[in-house]
Amino acid sequence: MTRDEYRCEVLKVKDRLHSYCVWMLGDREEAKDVTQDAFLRLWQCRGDVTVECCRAWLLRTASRLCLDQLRRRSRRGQRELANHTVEAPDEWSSPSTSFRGAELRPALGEALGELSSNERAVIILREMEGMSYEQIATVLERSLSSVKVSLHRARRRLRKQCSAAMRVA
Amino acid sequence: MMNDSPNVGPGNHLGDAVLGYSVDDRLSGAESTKIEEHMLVCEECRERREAVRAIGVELRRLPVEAFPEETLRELFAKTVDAVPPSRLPSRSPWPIKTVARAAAIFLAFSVSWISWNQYGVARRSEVSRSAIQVRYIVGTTARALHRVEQAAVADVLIRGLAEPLHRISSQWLERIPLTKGSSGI
Repeated sequence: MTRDEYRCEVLKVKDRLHSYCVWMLGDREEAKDVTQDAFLRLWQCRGDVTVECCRAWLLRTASRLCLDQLRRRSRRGQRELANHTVEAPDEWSSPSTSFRGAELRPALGEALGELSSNERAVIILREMEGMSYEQIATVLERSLSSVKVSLHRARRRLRKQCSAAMRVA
Repeated sequence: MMNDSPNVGPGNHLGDAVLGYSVDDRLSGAESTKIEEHMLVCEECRERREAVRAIGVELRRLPVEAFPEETLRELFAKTVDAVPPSRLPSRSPWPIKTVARAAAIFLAFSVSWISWNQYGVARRSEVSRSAIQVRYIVGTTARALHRVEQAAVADVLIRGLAEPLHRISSQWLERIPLTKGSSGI
């Protein structure tokens, strides 16, 4: 990967990667540091990473760093997503944006924080990054069956936690 | 795709896995038809699948967190802007680590060899110098001893032989008759 390719790839994926880290960690400062760390590691390994697999490489590295950070937190006895909050953009306040959206979003933000780190990683990669089951397994370095189990569990837990909000809607 | 085949019937409900596969379009044609037939008669499964879809839609609408511009500038300052472009090969054609190791081994071997040789020369010159010194000392001692010996021998000879010779010569002189001239005196 050349210098220009590196710059181009960083500019292309920076916001998505940062969002992924924010949702994984629930802390913007830590997410910023982890995202920067992932980009620095990409720079150090640019000789081994091609442009085609750059996004997957960055997501894999960021996932590892986020899971390490969450493990460190749990060792320190802190709750994984202690200060996690959902800051909805202005467009979310519009009632016509989406089906059940206004009621569902705050509950969804809390429910995401209740998931285990592995379940959260799988559901974010599937729903927010639009990855296939196989891609998720590659990125998280887990078996396909393990990814499926985590995904179904995450969906069930989110559905149960958001059920009240959906009934109100 | 669907390993946990749905036990679809009016009194049975679909599992979470099957609902997920249905939402993700990972069912075969026959399986999908079977599921849709069940959905027509089971309101609960229909609602559960709708809930899973709605959650997916809302998750995709979660806000994108912009990576801070200042941090991005810091990142580029540490990476692409820190090194001149001409010095940024994506991958060196030389196996740098292997060459470095080989050079280190060669250097160490050369230094060892030179040091050993220098030490050998020094050792040899020291040995030869010592040998010369020993030979000189031995030679000098031998010469000195030789002189002492010569002197001693001469002394012994002089002291030992002089008296007997004198005695013999005296006896011989007494036995020799005097000449006429001398006897008449």
